[in-house]
Amino acid sequence: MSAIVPQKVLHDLAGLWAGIDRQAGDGSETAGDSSTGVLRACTMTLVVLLDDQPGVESAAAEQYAGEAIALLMREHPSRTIVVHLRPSGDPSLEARVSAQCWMPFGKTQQICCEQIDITATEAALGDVPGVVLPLAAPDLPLVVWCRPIRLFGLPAFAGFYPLAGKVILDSGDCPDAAAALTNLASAIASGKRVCDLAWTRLTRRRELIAQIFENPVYLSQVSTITGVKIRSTGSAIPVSAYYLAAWLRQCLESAGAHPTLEFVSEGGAGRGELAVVEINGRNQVEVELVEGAVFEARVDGLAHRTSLPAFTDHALLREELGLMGRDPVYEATVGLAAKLASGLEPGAR
Amino acid sequence: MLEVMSSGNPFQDPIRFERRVPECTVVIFGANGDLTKRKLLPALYRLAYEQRLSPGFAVVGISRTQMTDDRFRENMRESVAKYLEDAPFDEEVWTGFATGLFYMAGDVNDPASYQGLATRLRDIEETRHTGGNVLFYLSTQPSQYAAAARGIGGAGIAKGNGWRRLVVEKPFGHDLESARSLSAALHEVFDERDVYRIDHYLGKETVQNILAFRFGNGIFEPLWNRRYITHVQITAAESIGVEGRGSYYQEAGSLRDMIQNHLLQVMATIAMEPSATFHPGSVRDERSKLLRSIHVMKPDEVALNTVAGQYGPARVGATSLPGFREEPGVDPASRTDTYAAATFFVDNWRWAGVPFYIRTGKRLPKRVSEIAIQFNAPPHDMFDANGGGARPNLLIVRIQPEEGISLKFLSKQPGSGMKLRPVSMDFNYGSSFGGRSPSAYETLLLDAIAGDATLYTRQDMVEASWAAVEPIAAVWSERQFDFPNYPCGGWGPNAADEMLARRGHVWRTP
Repeated sequence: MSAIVPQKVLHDLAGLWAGIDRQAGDGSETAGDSSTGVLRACTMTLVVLLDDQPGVESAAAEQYAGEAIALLMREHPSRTIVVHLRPSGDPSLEARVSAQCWMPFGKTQQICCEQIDITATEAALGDVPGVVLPLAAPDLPLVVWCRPIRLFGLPAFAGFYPLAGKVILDSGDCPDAAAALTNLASAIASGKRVCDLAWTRLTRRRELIAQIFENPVYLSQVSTITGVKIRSTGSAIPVSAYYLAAWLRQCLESAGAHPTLEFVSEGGAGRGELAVVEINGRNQVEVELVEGAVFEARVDGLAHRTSLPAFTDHALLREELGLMGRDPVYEATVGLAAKLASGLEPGAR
Repeated sequence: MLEVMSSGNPFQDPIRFERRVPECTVVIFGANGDLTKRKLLPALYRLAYEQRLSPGFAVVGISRTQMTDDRFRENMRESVAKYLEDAPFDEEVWTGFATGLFYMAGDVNDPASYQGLATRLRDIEETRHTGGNVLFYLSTQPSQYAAAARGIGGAGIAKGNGWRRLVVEKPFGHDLESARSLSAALHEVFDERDVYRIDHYLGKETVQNILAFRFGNGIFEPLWNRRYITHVQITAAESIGVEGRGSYYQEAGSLRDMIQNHLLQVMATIAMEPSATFHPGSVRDERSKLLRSIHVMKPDEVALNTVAGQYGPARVGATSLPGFREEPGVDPASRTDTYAAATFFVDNWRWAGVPFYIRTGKRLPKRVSEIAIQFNAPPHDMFDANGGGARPNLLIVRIQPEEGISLKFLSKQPGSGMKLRPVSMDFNYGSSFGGRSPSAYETLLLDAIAGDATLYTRQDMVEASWAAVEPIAAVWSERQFDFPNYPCGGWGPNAADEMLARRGHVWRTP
């Protein structure tokens, strides 16, 4: 079994920076008052777990994640540790270092972030936290983005929790919404700082709903809301539908309304997608995803379309990395969402 | 159970949702002017690009030039594309934004113009559902502020279905009396709470960050007083001259143009007491208290604690630069200060005896705005000569360019022996946060639309600043200076160095 010596990786990293500095012809590592050369930037350690399987799908996913990481570095410069997990073979760990640099718009100084790529077999997943710990940038937050959701349930994954200020998952593709939400609710109930990109995808839609009720006339009628209907496509009700229903119920109950919840699956192939949310009371409010990231909000038949940024990994992670503290709204929602998905709450399924 | 926001909207999620600003119309008086083209429209466009404005947002530009809405849109398109800073121009975003741009020709002194504006605002309120909210922005000559306010009041548009606010650009008067007169004229029409006096320095990210740095961290505030700080230097240097603004500038001068407003506000932010809350009223109360605590100089103190300067011609690099008196539109015998330095003291327990040195000038060696806080040297120097003339710790807040914070301290040089060398620990906005910071005008316009006056100047603050500056201006107006007294490209008159030397201090070189 091959292994990684963290000290050697750090040494390689130092050598990499010395080389970049020489190339730039400017030995400084900090901004100071130098206006040219290279700036080494780091505000956190971002650990990314990726599947490294043979096949086109895995390669595309890895490329997509790589693009997201490159874009993220501009707003959240970090020491990125990318862990490529191979499904089989002897337990092994390998590492290499590189830097990503870019020139900010209108500036003359390049900003560079460092990346450490670790290749490991899935059998060695339990050894990865021990390698990550000495490689993490000191005194800075550490965030784990675990792209394959299936790793979340593995016992070896537990080793990341003590390191991470935040673990980012994506339950959007989970075929079993009830199991995914129950696991997430249980992790949060035990004090782990976990977030779900399936919830992050709802932010703009939730914001649209909130915006509608900024109108004092509609706000005054909130307590008259009697029902919420959530339509989705696909063969099963998606996680996002349960999140949205749980959130709406919590919000409405806090305003004195006690709505019924109804989930309508419109069928079709592929993974489920949230389509329309209807909020019924004295006013009829509907928010529909029309196409891509274009939403139509309808209030009593009056329609208004809004084009929102696409839900790329970059956009979603950017939002999550901007929130390093607790997220009380999510924490309050996930438990109810799990109960709705499991049929333990009325109005579910 | 979810916490319901103070607004009462149970769906709000303040951690994740952007701050919502209401629908409104911004009416810009002086819409054909430089400020509108260079700052206001680029800032509003950028806010639209960031989706921070509501869908019905509208702008009505007013100036004397006859122009159609379409011509105005085309002119503004060119300006935005030209002056947009640190961001690309997006044609698609512009197309949507431009549908909310309107123009009307009008004279600030003509009541009929305001009647026309009233009609236009009613139309916009109906077609764009602005709820009757209007932000009036006076980007005109300061002499027209009072007339514009009266015109707005006379046409009955200072009140309406929604809120009505007035944004006023500096200068807020040219002395204490005129500042009071201006406020009185504005208050005939608008309540003080609806008057937003804009000081774009307060909108700069780094100036706002002073509050975060001081009051969001535990380690600095205990040192932030006369026991540990020997003095503070505030520098706002420009490398350019008056750039075609000679006739305006010779009426203002650097003391009135920079120190009375921007730099005293920066000083107040550096020296104010912590506010109990981040509520606009509370923060502004503390700023105001500090400004009112600035020691007002007597005439004999002015001579010792202030320096006026004016740049003369010089060759910088391979270029011959004219002196101020040779600039277009400037009186060849002008006595205007293009450089001003002053030593201020704050009469309170925290700062008694600590000099705040402020300097600003044109045609200095570089464009830089910084605050330097110099801490006391160690009480005993155990390293003697090995310390290499040990320099005290210095905390530098860089406002522009390359916004950030640096801490200078001594470190042992590698190798045998114990030789010390100053080193720097740097925080740089660009590298830590990436992306771009909003311009000061983006921040301030958004705040005004949202009704957040934290970063705006209140009448009592303006008056306190004038109270500190007016005695200096009065002495200077009586005194014959031997101008020009510094060359283009220099760090100001020698007298400025002597002013610090009297207390054993030296200006740092930014």
